[in-house]
Amino acid sequence: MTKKIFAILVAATVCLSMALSASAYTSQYVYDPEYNLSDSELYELNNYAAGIENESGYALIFCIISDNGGMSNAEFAEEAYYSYTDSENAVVFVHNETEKVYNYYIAGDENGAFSDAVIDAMKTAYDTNESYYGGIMGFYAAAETALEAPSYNTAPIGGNAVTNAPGSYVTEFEKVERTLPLVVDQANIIPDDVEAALIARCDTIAEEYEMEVAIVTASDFGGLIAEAYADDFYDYNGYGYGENDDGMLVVYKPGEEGEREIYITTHGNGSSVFFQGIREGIITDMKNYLIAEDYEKAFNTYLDRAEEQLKPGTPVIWLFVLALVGAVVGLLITGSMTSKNKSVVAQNHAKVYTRQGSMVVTGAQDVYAYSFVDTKPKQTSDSSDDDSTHTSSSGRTHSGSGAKF
Amino acid sequence: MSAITEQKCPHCGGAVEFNVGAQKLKCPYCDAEFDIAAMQQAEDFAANTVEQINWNSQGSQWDAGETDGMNVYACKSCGGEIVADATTGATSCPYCGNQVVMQGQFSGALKPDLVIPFKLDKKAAKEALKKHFRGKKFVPKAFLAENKLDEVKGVYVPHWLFSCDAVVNATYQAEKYKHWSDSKNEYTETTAYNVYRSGSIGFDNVPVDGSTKMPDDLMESIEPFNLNEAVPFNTAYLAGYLADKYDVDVNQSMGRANERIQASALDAFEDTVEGYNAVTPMQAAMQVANGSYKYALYPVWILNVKWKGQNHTFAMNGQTGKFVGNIPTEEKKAKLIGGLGGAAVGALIYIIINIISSL
Repeated sequence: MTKKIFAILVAATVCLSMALSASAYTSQYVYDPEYNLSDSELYELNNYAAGIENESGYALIFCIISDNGGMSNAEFAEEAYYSYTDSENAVVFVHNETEKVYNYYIAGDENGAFSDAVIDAMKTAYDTNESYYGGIMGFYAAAETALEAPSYNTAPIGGNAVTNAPGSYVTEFEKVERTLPLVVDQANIIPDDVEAALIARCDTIAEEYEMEVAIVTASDFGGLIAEAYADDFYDYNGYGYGENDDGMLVVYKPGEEGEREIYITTHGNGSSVFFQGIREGIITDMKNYLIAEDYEKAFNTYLDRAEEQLKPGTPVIWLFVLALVGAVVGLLITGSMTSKNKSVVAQNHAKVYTRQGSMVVTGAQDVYAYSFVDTKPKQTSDSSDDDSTHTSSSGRTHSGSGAKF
Repeated sequence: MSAITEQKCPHCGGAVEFNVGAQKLKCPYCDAEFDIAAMQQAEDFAANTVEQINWNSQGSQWDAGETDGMNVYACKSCGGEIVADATTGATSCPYCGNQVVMQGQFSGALKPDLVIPFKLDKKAAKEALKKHFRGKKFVPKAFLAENKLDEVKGVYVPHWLFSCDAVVNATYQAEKYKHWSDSKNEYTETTAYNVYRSGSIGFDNVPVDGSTKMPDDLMESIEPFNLNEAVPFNTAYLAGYLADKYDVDVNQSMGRANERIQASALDAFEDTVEGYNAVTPMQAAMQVANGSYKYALYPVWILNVKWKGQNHTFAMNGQTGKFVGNIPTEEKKAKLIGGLGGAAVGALIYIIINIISSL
């Protein structure tokens, strides 16, 4: 009897504490209908997330589900955003245990904190911990770190799915309108008057040639490699002209010798106009000016070369190609002419002395020796000769060239 | 069996293993499969590639008194020895143009079996030289204007003529390729065969220059001579011409004949390996049957052209009129004009394209 009373008292205490804990936060950050977490774990996690929201204004919602109620996981993530928070800036992460799929939905993200790399880091922190509690704590810790260093958009806006397939972020890229200028000097290395002149020149180029040619400087690439940073900056800030988002964007990170980094990304018609040889030529031409920190000359050289390519008529590179082909053909022709001046040649055969009808084949055997099969992956129809062609985190195709010096 | 299992893969060089299930040899590195009998056959053939060439000698000696009236002249400069009958005489060396002195009456050496008499005269040779220069590009103008035809000599050049049946045993690796693909991959199946050919092919009168002073490549360049017009040697044919004594004997000449006969014999048998995408000769052995040789004099017009102190030798087949000789050439000028001219044309095309596209 004493034991029963004690048990009732314990149960009553737990219920009371749950009620109290529920009243400690107003929003629900962790959604766990399958009871993978204990109440105390749930309490701690919700408190942690509430703290992050208070500090950053971002609601970070985590859902562990086994049934998405007939919706797609992406829809579920979006629905969760509207159901569980009023915050304008939010990240909703959904782990569907049945389908073994992760999805996320980002709302607002006015600081551009949640790049693909950050989302990846958050997912990895969750994945690598054996317990749900530890995993979600890691997820929030990674998010908290990212919120400390806001930057421009280099992350997807809107719902995207993260699958377990390595390196494949998928899905529909939602195009945004460009609000940033064509020159974004985040590293603060371009004098204001020069920046204004560069912007004006970029605008003129865009208008005249229907191709956006942009310049971005950055003190760091927020943990991304230069290629991903350039591609994401281009995609998620709405760069590119017209329906195909045609354009080219250079990102430059200043630094000491060996730390300077430059990358040129192209998209749409930009990839065919500014092909690999041209991009590499531009980087070569810019290098010395960048080392000398003469950014006016460096970026004007970039725009000069871009304009050369865009001008009506055949690009200058073809002048060299045609001249080279002409020179080779010319040498072949004169070589053929001079070869006629040399008529003394040793005869290494005796075919002309073969006795007519004398050849007799007395033995002929063709014996199977061995066989083998060579397998080569098929080139996809959209593959390009330009080996720098790749798919960015948005799923769009970019080409690019870069250098570190 | 153990000896076979230690063999190397003819495709990649890896050690092959016997696959019990397939009853075949299989390479664990490239997955190629081999037929054991084929592998053994290839081994046996490789061990039996002895090359043997035997030639039966012919040739005759001079009759008593036949060389009377034939004098030998020696060049002090190049050491060449030439023969001329007493009425023709000789004053200069046909090879280098320097003076020759009479050494005495001709004696020794084999008597030629055959001689092809000159059919074309000196005038034809001079005309042929003019024609040879005509239309040639990048020849120094000074050469064309200043060259001096120093001497035109009709010379009977000694040749050894080799005839034989070449008995050939050859093996080739032949490959057939089959291509196909599915949605992911492209496949190429290579099926290799060991191909064996044996048989014989005859060659008649393959000539080898028997004079060291006469460049071999110059003589080979004016081939062929028509031996149907050859006649038994008679000193009467030497009247008005010079003759060279052979100083490369038949044994020294066999090597060159062998090279030429072997190359053509193997080519002829390789041509019988048909129906494959690629054929690679692996091993070959050639033996000579019914080998014989003759000693013949071939009619050659030698034309020495002097320019800037240098001697340029041209030769004409005295029977067919085939004319050869390297003409001085301005190689650098040719490359400069070809390269720059071609580049200029390329640039012009670029400009035209730009003009058209801007219209």
